[in-house]
Amino acid sequence: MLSRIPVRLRLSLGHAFWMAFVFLVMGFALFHVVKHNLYQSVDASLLSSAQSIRAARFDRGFNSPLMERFLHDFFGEKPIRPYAQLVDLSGKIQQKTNHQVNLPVTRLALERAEQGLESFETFALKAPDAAPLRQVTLPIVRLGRFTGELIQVGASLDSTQHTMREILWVLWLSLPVGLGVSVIFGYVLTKRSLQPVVDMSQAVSCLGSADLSVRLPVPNAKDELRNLAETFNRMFDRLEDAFLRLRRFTGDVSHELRTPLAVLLGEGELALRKERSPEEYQTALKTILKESKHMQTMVEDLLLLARAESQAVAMSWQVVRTEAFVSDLVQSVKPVYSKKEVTLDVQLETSLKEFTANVGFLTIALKNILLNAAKHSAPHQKVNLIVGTQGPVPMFTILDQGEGIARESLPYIFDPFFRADTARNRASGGSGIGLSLALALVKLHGGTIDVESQPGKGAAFKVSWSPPEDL
Amino acid sequence: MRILLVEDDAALASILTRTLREESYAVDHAPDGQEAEWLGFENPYDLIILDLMIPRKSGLEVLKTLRQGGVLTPVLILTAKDTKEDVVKGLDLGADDYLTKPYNLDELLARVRALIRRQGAEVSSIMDLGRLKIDTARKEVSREDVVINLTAKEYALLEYLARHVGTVLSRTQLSEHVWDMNFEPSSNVVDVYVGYLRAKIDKPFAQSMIKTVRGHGYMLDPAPRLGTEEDREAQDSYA
Repeated sequence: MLSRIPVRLRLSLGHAFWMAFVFLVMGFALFHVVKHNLYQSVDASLLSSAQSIRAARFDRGFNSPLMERFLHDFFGEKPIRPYAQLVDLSGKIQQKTNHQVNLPVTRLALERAEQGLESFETFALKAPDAAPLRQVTLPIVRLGRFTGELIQVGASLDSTQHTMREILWVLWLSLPVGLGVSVIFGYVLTKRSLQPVVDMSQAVSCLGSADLSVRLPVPNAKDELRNLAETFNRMFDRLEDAFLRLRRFTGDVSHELRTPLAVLLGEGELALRKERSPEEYQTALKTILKESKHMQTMVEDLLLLARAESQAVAMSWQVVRTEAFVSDLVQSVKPVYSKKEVTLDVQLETSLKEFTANVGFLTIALKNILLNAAKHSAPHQKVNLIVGTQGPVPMFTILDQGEGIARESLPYIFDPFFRADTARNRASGGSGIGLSLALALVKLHGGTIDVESQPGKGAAFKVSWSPPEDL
Repeated sequence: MRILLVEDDAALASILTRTLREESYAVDHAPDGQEAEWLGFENPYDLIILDLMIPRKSGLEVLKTLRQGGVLTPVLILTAKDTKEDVVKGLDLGADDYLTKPYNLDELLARVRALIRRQGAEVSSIMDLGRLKIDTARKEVSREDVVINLTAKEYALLEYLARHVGTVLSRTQLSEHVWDMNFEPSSNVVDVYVGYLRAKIDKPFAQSMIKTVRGHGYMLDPAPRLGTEEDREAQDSYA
């Protein structure tokens, strides 16, 4: 239910609810503090006037203009005039100012009087619209003993009540006004604070597959919104990278598959356009055969890559003698190296007599890296194959002196069909996924391929893996 | 008609070159963007077939440079990509048509004919010059309903003359549009081939349509004078 209300409204309503609560508590406290203070000040006036009367021994003159003036000075003009009287224990009035009020002496007042203490009481009057009366009862004590006479001074509480009513009015008025103002301000404030979020969502909705280069503006203040914008931007970076890779991959893969297809189709169509000599047919068939073989290699490599990447191949480990393995490996790449006139220099470190690996997969991986090194070497350059260990694990290092890898290409060299030069000369051979396949196969070993390269000075590929111990 | 083929894949380029030459086009091949640009500025091609994914300079860059340099030759784009982004960019940069690999050779040739035709005012693949009819799709020539067999080069020469009917064409113009870059400029190959063509087109008939304009070159005249009644009528209607 609450979750259906828009967040702006929810925030401002929640804000208003708590504001109302605080208003009420504060109003209640204020009202009672003021009420208490007003009563205290009335009581203080009553007590001090009664004490003055007692000290002055106003035995005779309660009903005199002097007394009237005295009381008037204390309490001011009132609808019911303040009064003073002298009563005995039975409640009988012995002396009094000129007034009609006749209140009984209460038990409480008597009990307190016997202990020599004054008491304050409030009496509601029967007359309509009349404010209650506040009366103090002060015992007359002589020589430490209660004489049985009481001085009572009373005054109307009308002005006190008037003040209280006004305060209450102000409180009841200010509550809804304050609440309304706080709701409106809260709403505007939340709306303003949420504006960057609205802007962001607008910017995000503008991002599409067509343009992923847009980034959110990062606010200056180091707050949650800046954090959000930065998080979004980082996500866009990753999305853009993944999207570009995917787009490049689909473009590359369609190029790599369609070009040989176009050759197959074209050669066939051309041959059949008209009668030709046997030599022409032979040439056409040879081209078709060559292209078909090329496609076969590519399809096989792609299948192996897919299986290796999804770990859908059976991985078995064998203990391999280094010397025999390396010599087989070198033999397998020799034709390419001699054709390109690139020297392959092998260094066997004595520390690695034998190692554990999947011979088939490791051979394919290393062969692909060696062929890649040859492809990027000029004639008469040298490729080094160093077989050794790094700590406890075997490591194969392949160094070439070719053109190296540009820094911006480095993250992509293991992407299928990626070629650093846009030159996609299929004459350079290979299926275009040699390095991706190598990495996938080394990963099956739980290993890594580290690449270091300085453009213009060649590249170093370091293959290492740690064989499982429980063999 | 002379075509520049820009394609980096050797096998594919070889197929296209052979196909186009069989269709009696003169073909120059550029394996990369730089050479394509150089050849494009150097020679007056009638059509450029441009692969977009080529080394050194992308096809789009080549297209842009050529168009900015004032080369208005029709361009047919070849692409292997699925996305039409590059095609759209290419067409916006001034390409005239595109084909996605792998393509059908017949379709490619039909588009080539269409693009070449578009430069003139022709509306169909059959050129009708009164007595002389040329079917550019089938490479068939007939005069007064007699089918004439021509070699590829003879046909190309005739087609070029026919496309500029009534205009005097110099030997250089003819060599530039009918022969590829292996043409030897100092030779008299053009005159020799015009001779061959005359032997087949004009000799069996009463009037000669291919005229020599001394000091300038050759011209195909659709309604030659000095002929029969029929000729005069044709001439009147032409005028």
